[in-house]
Amino acid sequence: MTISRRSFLKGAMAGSAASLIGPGLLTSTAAAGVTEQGVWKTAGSHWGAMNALVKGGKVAEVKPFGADQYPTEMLNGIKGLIYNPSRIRYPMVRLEWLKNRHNGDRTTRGDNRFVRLTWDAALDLFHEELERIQTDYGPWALYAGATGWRQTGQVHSCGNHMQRAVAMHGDFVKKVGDYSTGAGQVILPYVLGSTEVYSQGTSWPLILENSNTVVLWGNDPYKNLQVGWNCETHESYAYLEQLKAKVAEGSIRVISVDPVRTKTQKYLDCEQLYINPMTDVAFMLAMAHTLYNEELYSQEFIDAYALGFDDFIAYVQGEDEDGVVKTPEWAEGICGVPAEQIREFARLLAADRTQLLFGWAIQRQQHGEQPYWMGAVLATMLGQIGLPGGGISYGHHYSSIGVPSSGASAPGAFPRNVDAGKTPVHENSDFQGAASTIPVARWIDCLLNPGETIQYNGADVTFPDIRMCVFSGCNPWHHHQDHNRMKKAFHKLETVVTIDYAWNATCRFSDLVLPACTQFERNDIDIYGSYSNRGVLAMHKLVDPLFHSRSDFDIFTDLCRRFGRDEEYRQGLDEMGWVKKLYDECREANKSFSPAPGGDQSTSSMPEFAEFWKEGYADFGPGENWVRHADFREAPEVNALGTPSGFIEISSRKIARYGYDDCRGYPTWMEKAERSHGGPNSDRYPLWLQSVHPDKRLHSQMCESEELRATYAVQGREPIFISPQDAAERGIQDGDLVRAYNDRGQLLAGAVVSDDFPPGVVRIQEGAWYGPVGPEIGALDTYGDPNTLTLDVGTSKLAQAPSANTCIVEIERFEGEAPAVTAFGGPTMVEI
Amino acid sequence: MIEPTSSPTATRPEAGSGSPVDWESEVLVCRWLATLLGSELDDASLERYRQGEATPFLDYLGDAHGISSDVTRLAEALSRLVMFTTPQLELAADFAELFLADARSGAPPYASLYEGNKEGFHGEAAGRMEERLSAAGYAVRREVSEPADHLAVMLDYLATRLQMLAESEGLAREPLRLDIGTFLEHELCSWLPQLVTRSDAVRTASDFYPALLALTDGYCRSLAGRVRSA
Repeated sequence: MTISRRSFLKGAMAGSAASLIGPGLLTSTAAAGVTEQGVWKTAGSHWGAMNALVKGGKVAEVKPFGADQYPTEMLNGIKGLIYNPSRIRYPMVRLEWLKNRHNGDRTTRGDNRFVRLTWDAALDLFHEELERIQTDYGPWALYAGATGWRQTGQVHSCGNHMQRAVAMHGDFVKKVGDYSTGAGQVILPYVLGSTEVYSQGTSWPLILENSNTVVLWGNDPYKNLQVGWNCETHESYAYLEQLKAKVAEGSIRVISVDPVRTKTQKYLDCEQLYINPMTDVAFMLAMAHTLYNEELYSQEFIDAYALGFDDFIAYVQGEDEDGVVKTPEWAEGICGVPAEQIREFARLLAADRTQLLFGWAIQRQQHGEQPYWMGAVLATMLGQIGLPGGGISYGHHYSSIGVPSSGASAPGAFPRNVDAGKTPVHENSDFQGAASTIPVARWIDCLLNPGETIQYNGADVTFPDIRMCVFSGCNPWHHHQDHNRMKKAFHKLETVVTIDYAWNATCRFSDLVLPACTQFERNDIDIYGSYSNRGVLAMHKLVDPLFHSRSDFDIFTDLCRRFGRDEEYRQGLDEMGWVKKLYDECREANKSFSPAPGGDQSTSSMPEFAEFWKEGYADFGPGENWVRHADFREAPEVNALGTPSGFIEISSRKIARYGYDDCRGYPTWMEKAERSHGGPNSDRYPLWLQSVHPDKRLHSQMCESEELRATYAVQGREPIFISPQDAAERGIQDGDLVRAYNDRGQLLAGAVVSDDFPPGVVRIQEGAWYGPVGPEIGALDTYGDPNTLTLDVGTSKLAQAPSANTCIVEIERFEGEAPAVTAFGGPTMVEI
Repeated sequence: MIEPTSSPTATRPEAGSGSPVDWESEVLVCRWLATLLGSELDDASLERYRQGEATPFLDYLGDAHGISSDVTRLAEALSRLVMFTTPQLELAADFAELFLADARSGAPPYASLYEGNKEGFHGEAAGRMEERLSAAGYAVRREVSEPADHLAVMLDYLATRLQMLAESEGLAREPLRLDIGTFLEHELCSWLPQLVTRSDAVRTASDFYPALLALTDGYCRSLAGRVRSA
């Protein structure tokens, strides 16, 4: 009998099949056609509460939540976020680190290859590293303090999960402050008694009713109110619409003090008062000079509500050690505003009811404490703090601040800390003389200079010798300044663990990367309306976690299982158990809640959980109008501020006692390390680079959405906005690719030539994903992250906050073949 | 999103199309490819390859499908693995680089990403595959947790259809053959050339997976011809 070659091979293949063919990927089910019509569910995000149509196991359509009358176009990016090609799909480990762990080559971090792990293997490694760090070093070697704009939802808040789980294993270095309001939240408690930046502000209806003049100081609310800390419903926009109408009819005058024509200014069609970048304090001192010398200030208010005016005014009058009289003529040479215009502006604000609305940009610069302090001093001199439509706010551009609060209690959250009475596996809390908490923006200084002592807010902070970092839902490779400096710092780290849902730069600079699912892939609960606290939203799971991603709850429960604390971690409850618990506790807290007069009285009692979950929301109704600091104005002794004296502190003895040379006892003008428009180093780098909050994403979130990016990118790069004059002087046309550079780095960006920008000012919006051409220090960033260029110094010894807006650059038309954008492409490979 | 590109394999002759087809052998080939493309090789599997256990598959593909150059390329890639001190890890890193990391930079094995739309994962191709699986009484195993348009899932599905064809008789056979031909041409051969182009552009440590993808593309093209003419 003969056998054909084919028959022989078939037999041989069948013989090999048992060892070479694995189990199939399919399983049998009952045959069925796909007939599902889909179901609408409620969900929420920083971009807005929403209703989503889920069809065939996929999110088919997203619509704004019914209560959101002014939805942002960013909702169009939700599907692109869920199904994005940049999703982290599996637990991954950096190959070099897997081979050699902390003894491996750290210089390849950020440009190396990864290998897939099972969840068990990945969490074992995570646990082993925590164990190694606590055993070989101590809590001072672990930094798990950084947190960011986690996805919305009170059960799965990722920073809480990370910090609770890590804390149950052992202590670690924590952070204080944040990148948005670092200077403001430190200086304002000295001056006004609270951080102010995250405080509810005077209600918009009262501003609309009572203000004659509204000043937007470095403030672009129409842009920034698109996103909110909770599930936003954009109620502020109704008031901006009314403000626009009042501007048109001439009943309110709105003036935007800003070097740039902002989106808000253009929407409101209001006035602009141009000022040179970073010179606001000089301008404001000259205003104070005018108010004082023309006797336009309120001595009565100062006498009743403030301290320290004499020391301050002596400085204004040139009667202190610097001997410079802060006249408008003096300021004109710095701030670029004609002296007479400064006087007229001061007179205008004093003439009638004026509401000052400050943005956060001017405190994100070197000496950023000063403009905020000076703003409070001006408001005090005007004497309108505590009046409806008067005084000062530092938050009306944020998360619906100014929309009346319902007054209801919001749901709590999954705990961030170890339960009371419990101790971690490693009870060691000896930081060996180093600080257990560091100012957040100084953590790269800490990595580069362990053991160094800095001054911070009246205390000494000695940097711990950090060896391992854990990040969850936090992208420091977007939000920290000077990425080339960061590269050097990361060479010192032994282990970096990141939990996220997309391959951003922080993942690429990590050793162990764990895939969290998005907020649309788990059940949760949150408030909607942010500061209005309008209601409670059921955040239904729309689809199962994609690929091998898992919820933060599941990830950290399983981590805790490795040291026998999982039951304690989750307090015996599963995901839906926590959702129901938070709702029931909220319902109990609101038992006696009554909606504001005129509100829907049927909302006074929250329904049972099952009904709420089915309905998708429980509404608290609108809130009542409120005036910030009205209680203080009414009875300053009874309702004292949280300042050392209980009064507004125009001068602070406490700060003066610190003896800082960069933050004295009263607000002062100080030159910056670098400044455009004739400032230091402007002969080499004449353009001020401002890195404002983006218009079409939330910081770096949604930068990965190709659909949205296509609406603003230029030649596939982040836009850089340039004035026509600066563009012409450099031979740059709208749409050109340009290289922006300074001594700290270089990047590619796409030119947008716009007369919204004055000469000497360029803008790249922060949150652009970092994508250098290679691991080397100074490598060209291919997409256009402004933090490739920004300055990494503390605002001052007081706040040690980010100084991102102190940054000058030069730009040139890019010639030659442009490198491909690497920002959205995961880890790249090195030659082996 | 991945843009359509021309493929160096687009004009490959459909070798072996004149010979009678042994569908059961094709079932084995599809399952073998699905295994290789579904997950990384572990040490034991890699050792079996180095011992030559895949030779019957490679010989069959060269013999029955006339894709000798692809077979040779894969065999050479296998033989060169001796250069590595940790070949399993290097192959796993290549696998990750191509298939698992950010899908914009590698050669993601998902049909949806090659259809020119902006949807990303779980696009229309995944929907069509889900319909096919559902109609055939299948679903992707839960623990696999991949969209239905993953190449390995599609090859596994193809294997089930070929098995049915091997077992079918009479009137049922022709519509099944036509359907398999349609599936090969419209759902696999439509994007595999782009996948091969993408993989060839990725700088992997070994040529193993790029060679495997080229082999898969050549095989599907050949099989489509044989199904059409059977």
